[in-house]
Amino acid sequence: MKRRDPQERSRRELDEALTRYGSERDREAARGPEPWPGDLFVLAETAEFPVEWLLVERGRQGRCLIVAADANPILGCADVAVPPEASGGPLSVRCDVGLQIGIESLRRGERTGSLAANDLDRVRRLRAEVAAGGVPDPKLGAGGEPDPSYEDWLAEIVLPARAALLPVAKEEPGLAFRRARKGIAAAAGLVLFLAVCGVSILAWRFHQGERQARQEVSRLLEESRRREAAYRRELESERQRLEAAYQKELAARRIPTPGSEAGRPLANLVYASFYPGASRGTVRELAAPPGTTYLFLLFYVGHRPLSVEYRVDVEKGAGGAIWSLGGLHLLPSQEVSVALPRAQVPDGAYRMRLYGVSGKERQDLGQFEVRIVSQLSHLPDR
Amino acid sequence: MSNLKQFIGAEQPRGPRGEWTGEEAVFTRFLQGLDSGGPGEREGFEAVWLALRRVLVGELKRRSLWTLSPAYVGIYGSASWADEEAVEELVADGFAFIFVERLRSLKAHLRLKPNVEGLIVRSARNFLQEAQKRHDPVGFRVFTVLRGAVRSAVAAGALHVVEGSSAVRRDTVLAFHAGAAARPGELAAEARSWNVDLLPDLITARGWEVRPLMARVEKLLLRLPAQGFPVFRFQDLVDPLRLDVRMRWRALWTSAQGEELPQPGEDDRLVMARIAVPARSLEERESFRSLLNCLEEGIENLAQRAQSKEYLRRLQMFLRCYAADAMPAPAGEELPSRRRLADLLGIPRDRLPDLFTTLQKLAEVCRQGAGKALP
Repeated sequence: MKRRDPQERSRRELDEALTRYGSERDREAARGPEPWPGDLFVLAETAEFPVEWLLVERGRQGRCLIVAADANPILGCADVAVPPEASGGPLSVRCDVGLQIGIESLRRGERTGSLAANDLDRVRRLRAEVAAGGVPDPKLGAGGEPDPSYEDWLAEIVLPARAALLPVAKEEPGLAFRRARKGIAAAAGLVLFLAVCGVSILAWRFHQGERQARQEVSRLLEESRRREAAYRRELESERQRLEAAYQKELAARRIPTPGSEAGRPLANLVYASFYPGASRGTVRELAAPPGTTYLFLLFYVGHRPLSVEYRVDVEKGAGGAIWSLGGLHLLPSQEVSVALPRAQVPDGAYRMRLYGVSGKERQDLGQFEVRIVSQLSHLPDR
Repeated sequence: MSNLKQFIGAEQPRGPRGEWTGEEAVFTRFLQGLDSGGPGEREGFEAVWLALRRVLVGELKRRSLWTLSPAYVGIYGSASWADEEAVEELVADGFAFIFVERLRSLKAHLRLKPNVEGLIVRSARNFLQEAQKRHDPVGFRVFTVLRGAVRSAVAAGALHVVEGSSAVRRDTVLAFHAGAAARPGELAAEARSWNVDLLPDLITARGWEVRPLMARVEKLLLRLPAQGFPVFRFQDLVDPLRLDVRMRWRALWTSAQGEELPQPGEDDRLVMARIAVPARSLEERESFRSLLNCLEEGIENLAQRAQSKEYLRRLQMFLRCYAADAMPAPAGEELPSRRRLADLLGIPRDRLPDLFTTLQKLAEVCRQGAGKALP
């Protein structure tokens, strides 16, 4: 069986490689010139070395971390091999041979390709591993073995290439200078713009229109900010009003503190006891003679499971609870007690609900219908 | 097709020893003329082919590979470089490595450089180095260990470079005293004797084991002045040592024939021998090389313990050497007995049957073209 002529085979492979190269170039061109992590560059400063530079990280203020990469397949234990079929491959990325450089240096260079995200990740991971001491000696060959050929490649090509780039990295202008330079550039741009306006009335009109548009945008923004501030103030005022109303309501429902009466015995109480089930479905009438100061009410709990504390809600009509008396404790007679000021419990129908409260759990222990009526005279009828 | 005389001919620029000088920038002009999507025929392809051929042949000679089997750089099926097809195959492989696979990188450098001739020559060297590393693991390992030991001795001040590259290349002349005359002695016999002490570690040492091995080599080096070799050329030391290692392996295979017949259950070695001997047809050469590469990759992908994988790597390396050195012999009859193989490779003898079985399964999977989906 006759195999294809080696020259013919090589020509065909070259044609395929050229097609691939053309596609990659088109992709690169369509992406725009700005350097981004994963991009490969050749730089004039290191043109004499067969080395490219991989942009690994792009930091603030235009500082970029780059590492050396080359097409020699020899590998060390701190290198990442990008296979031939991968974007940018074949390439050996020398992860430990890196330096910080300004973005301008990369913009001046030639972008020659880019690595896939997963290959860039491999480089970053290995760099992190080297930084963490996971690679004892990055100058060793693959498998951690001493390899003179690898040492030679580093010493003759890769490290001198980095050394050639170091002065560029050091001469990168400082931040203040960069800012000043930006300011100068901006000023120069403004002067140029004004000069153009002076020469061309059309451009001036365009400029005027643009300025008016910008002013209008600024005015609208300012108005929007003003409206938002007013709205916020209105909301705050409403919130304060509602808060005050709530506090007032709360105070109205609170059991009046004994005050000056605390030191005095209470007299003229109307007493009533409520038992579960006894008054259910019926309305109990409670007559209050003139001069009654308090309605003293006892609610029998009995032998039902004990709760930590108890609560009595007093409702009038369908308006919900007008009193909510919590924090009640059981008396030795298995009852809880409340005393309602007669002055605040006018005649009428009331519903009283008794609850047992344990933490967040609330148990309904009974409800009682009561009608309070004023007794015209405490004297017995004749 | 061009023959050897044509490509060394006077029509191409060459140095005093016939090496490629790059004066006419053939490679650079060729690359500059390439346009993506352009016509398939390109100006200068023939010139590039011849120039590359000259570079590669020069490099083969420089590395003392020219007199050895082409299998040492992955060209199987030819007994020597006198076979014109072997040279053409090597150029095709080199062309793929340099121009096809690395086209993007070359074009990248061409944007800032007027001339990339040096880059191409360096890339050709990288290609041969990689090919030798892969297909002649024994020779490459001997060279690497010995070079490391010599460099260590130079760094320690025990040896001095009196001529040639301080990085220690093949033609570097070294002396134990700085003022010694540069008259290297003939130390082939002494170098060969080192292997009694160094094998099999010289071949099987990996990772952290390599430094102690280099230290042992360095000790042997330091005995040279007392044995009458105060000055030596590096290649005079490394070539005999490397040759001797290969010969010992080869001797094992040939002497194994008839010495110990395969025992029941050992027939798998014969199967492996058949795997390892490449067929001579042109198509089968390619598939054989693919098989070796697939075996190598398959071992790395196996979900086995590290020690087992290391044993498999050694067996795989053994098969590569077998394929390179034992080519002309009939298939399947020269593999050493398990006892000798176990000694040679530093593998427990009782592990060999399982390892052979694994390799055999891998080979079957590779032949079905599923090398990347190995268990």
